[in-house]
Amino acid sequence: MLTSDLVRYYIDGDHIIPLFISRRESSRYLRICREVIHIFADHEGKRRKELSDALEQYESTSTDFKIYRGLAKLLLDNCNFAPIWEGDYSQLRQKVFEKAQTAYPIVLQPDLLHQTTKHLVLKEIGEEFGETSERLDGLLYGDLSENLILTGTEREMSPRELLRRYNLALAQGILYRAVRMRIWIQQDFKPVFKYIKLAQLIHEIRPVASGGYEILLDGPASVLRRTQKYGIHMARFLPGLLLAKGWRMSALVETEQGLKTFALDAACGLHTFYRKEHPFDSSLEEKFFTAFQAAKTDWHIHREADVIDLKETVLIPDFTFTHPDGRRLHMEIVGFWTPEYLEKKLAKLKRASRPDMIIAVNETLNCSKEEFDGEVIFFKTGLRPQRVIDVLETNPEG
Amino acid sequence: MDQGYKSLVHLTTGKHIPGDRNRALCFFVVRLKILQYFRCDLSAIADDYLSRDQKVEIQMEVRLKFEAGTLVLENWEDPKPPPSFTWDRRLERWRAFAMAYSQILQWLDERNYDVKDDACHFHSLDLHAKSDFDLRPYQKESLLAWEQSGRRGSVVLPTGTGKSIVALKAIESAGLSTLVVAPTIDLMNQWYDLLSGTFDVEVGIVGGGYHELRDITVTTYDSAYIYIDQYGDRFGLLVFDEVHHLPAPKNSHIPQMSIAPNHLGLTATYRRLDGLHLKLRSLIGPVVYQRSIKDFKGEHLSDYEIVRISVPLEPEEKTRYDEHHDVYASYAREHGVAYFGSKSRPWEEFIRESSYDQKARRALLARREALKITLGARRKMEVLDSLIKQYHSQRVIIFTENNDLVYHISKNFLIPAITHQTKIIERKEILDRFRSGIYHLIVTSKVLNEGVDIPEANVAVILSGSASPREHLQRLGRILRKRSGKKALLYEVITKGTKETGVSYRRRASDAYQ
Repeated sequence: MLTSDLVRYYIDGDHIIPLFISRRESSRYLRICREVIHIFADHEGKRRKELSDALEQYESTSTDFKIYRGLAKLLLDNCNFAPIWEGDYSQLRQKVFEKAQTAYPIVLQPDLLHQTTKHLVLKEIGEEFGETSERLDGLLYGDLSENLILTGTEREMSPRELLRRYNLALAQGILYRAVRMRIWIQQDFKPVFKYIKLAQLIHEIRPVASGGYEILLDGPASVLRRTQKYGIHMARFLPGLLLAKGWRMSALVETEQGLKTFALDAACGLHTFYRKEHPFDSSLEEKFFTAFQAAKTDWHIHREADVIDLKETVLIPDFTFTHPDGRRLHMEIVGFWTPEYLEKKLAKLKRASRPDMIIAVNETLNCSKEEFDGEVIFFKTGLRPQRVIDVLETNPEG
Repeated sequence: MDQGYKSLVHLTTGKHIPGDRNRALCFFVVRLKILQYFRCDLSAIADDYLSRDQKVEIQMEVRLKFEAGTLVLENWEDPKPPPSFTWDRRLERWRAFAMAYSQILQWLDERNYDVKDDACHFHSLDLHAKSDFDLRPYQKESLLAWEQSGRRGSVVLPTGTGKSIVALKAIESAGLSTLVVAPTIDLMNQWYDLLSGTFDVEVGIVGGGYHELRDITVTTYDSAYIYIDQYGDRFGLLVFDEVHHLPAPKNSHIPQMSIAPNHLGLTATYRRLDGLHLKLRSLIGPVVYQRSIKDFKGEHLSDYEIVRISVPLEPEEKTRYDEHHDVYASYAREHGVAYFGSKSRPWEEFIRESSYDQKARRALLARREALKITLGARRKMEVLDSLIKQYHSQRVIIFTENNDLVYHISKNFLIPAITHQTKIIERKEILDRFRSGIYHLIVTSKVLNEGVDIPEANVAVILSGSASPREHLQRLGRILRKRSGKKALLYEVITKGTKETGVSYRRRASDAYQ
């Protein structure tokens, strides 16, 4: 991500707006991306200082230096550096300085009284280490970050990818100072809530009449004072929000001109680099879903379509069934999993204690019917749609 | 009976009673402590209570929990919460800042609540300083004043009067897990040295690439801001070095998100121009003790002598300097920017301009180049050379605020260097060796600015200065420690005929010279 000084934006009325690199400008900046990537590639095996000098040189001719630096920062995060010599630098220095101390003063201009120069000292130490005094001179601070050698990158990045990351990083950078974030999503609840949880944000969920949810996000202390403390968490979450189709967000951001609104939606052209997981947790679910769609029934099946708020966390049932007459029931499948997973899952289901919840449990799992509050279906290897339909039809909550 | 017995057992373990929506069952008063005291048969009691059809009350223990920098109150039945608690409707619980901890415990105690305190994760430490400090009278007074104000508040003493000694004694006296917060990594390192040298415990570090939590831990304001919501329950005493940094909006989270009942703030410059120091009182307590530098003149600080040496640039340097300076100066004249960072016309405005205006940017870069030339002027190195010849048997600290120059000097004179990049172990070793006399010289960047304690130094050479009077004052303070009968020497080496001279003049106006 970018450092806050590299975040470019402007304030227009009540809004704070990032200065994205637009599609219109992209050919010019793609060239710059290519050149910056090239500078990095050119400096593999060279000192970090040389790399930063080259970057400074490159940016110095332009007032766009914030963009240049931003691009460089994103590439730098992706770089590996290592010292040129494997030895213990602080020990080497200690030897040199101790030796020097006995030979003091070390002078630039030897005179009658003071004759020791650094080269005399380095030569003596160098003999001990089997190095020349010149090489020792270079090694003395070889472990300083500017003297580290660029050894390679974590992963290749194309100019287009760099540009996309840059625009995303700008949006994230504005969120650093956010005090609250409101999002609207209509689908893909599971990945979004996964990243809400990873970012350790607290949610407040409201269903929206037109479908989907409005979710208010902030942190524990947000009820006590206006705080930017969770802004960085919101920034980390943003690429997760981008996984949802048709998302929208509006954040309240502290600026030098007071609180401003930062609004974005799916049409803003940002791309995420977080990955969406395989849509089904298991092949069992996938098979069941396909089979149910083919089954003869008025019930419709939806995958991960509802969010049940459990405050600290949410429960997103694997399936939701709707009937044209308005009945709506959920089903959670407890398949083959580790004991720890099962324990957590059971606790979660218990907390939900929703009578409109059907639970399908693999018979080979060691749990009894009493452990669940709702309707329980036991199955052995596969789950047949008809059994579920039977339960749907008899459930009083439907 | 079975159902009732189960309920009681759940009460004792603090878990929810099954079906606790049935409120009638919940209003019991069974004081578990009393039960335990009389060694009653729990099941019999439960049987007894629940067989009656009348409403009996069980007042559950009120439970306090630390949660991400806040306190959460559980089993609170009253619709009105204790002071400073707010209803958090998101998670449906009562919440307050962790700093309310001591106050809330007292409040609950006064009202005879049974409290289960799950919030507190700091503990008592039996601390003994390895060597006994000979406290000066004002140090004793300040310690006493702090203790008498409930171990809260700030001590305001000039730099170089041993504020850190007061802090060490305060830590010993409080005897609780302690977090020391310093403004820079280097100062944090300095506290690490000081604490591990004073107490026989391992000192933890959070910040500067370290993340080791111990009963006594040092950190920076920046790291504390990030981690306090995780560790705010682990310390009973917070020490804020240079406490004038604390009221900044971010930093104020640190005391708010910690349950520590004790706080100590230290500074030489309590007042802030923005007036935010007024917030300190509610954050960590009042100023409990204050002395100004005038109270100390000639008493605890050694006398010092300032020697100023101006060196000209060499012709080649001068040419390059003039070139760069002209670029900057002509822009500055045209646009009314003051020379070298004075605030007469907003400097920030110029910096902002340089981000979109090509000319302004060129001017800024030119100014930087010009400064670089004056800082590292070759003649300065010659002066340094002769000073080293003269004083190498004394204890000399060479200051320069430019990191590159520090390493340049270190490599050319083979003098150990300390910058913000120096690792904590190496740094400690260099300082130890300097103190014990193995090393006579060290060169350092502005890292030793605020409050770093090197009492053995008696010669300082400042090779380049910044325009901030406060900074300079504190630098001086460090050198000016009393050494038996010796006059400390401060050499200020500046470049003649450049704008740097002006900076030094301005600096002299600060009250350290009066």
